[in-house]
Amino acid sequence: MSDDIKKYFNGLLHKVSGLYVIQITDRDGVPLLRVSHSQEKNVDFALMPSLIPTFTTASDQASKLGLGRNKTIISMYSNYQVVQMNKLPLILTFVGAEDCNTGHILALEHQVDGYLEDIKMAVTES
Amino acid sequence: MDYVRSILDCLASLCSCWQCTDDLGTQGIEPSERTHLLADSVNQSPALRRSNSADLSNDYSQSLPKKDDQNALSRLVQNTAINMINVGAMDSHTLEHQEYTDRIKLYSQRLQQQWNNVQHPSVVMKGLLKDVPNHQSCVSKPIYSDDTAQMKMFMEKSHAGVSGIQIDHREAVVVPFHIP
Repeated sequence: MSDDIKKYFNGLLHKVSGLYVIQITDRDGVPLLRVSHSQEKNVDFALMPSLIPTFTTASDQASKLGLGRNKTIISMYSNYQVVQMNKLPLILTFVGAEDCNTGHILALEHQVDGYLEDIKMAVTES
Repeated sequence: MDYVRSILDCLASLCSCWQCTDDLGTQGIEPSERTHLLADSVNQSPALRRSNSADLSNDYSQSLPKKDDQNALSRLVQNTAINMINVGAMDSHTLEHQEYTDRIKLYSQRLQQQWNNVQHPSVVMKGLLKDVPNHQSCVSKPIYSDDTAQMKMFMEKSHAGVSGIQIDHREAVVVPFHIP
């Protein structure tokens, strides 16, 4: 069954051209599920354990600036873009090329949501 | 004499401080012009709900009914901490490597157990642009001859329809303007 899930997420990955990685972690950055393009360049910089906890804190602190509670942070770099979604207790992270269509990445959210409820169970039991 | 006066001043300021904190402690209980219309409005503010630290809010909510000065002070401190933008707190979330690997193992075990019960979401989105943003994969697929024949038929019919349109004009098509 886990192969089916991986296959499903791999399918999502290939639907968006230029998307390299989909990763689901807990709020401390511990990975639960990760699918990536096998032949793509090294994008591990974006998945360093410190990046995801920083996102949760930044999202939390940024809400105090007066912009309100945000759900998604999109970071554009010179070679990559990182889209992080707040699905507490989970964090959904997408890494794509800098010219990847961000709207397409955001559209994947609805297709992932169905699985997140089940994956949340693994985190909330602890 | 100056020494005694300074002591008296100090005592006076302490008393006023004590009174001030006492006011804060009893503020939500006795109705006055400073009483909030909504009970426990501070606790319901979005800033407090935003707090990711359950302990802080628990302590805070427990401290409300008590008229203790210490609780009133700690409430002020906590409220400030919640509303303050604390960039330095980002470093405090890093996990030990051992705990990190332990959690990965734990999660993978639990997921393995759960995957057996997971059912695929049956939400199938229709439409080329919504469901398949990467249209190139669709375009490269072969087209069946039946589909081509149907498309040709539609094209011929629409072409015949368009060519059958005739304009039966009864007035002059070009109308000259009456420019003096």
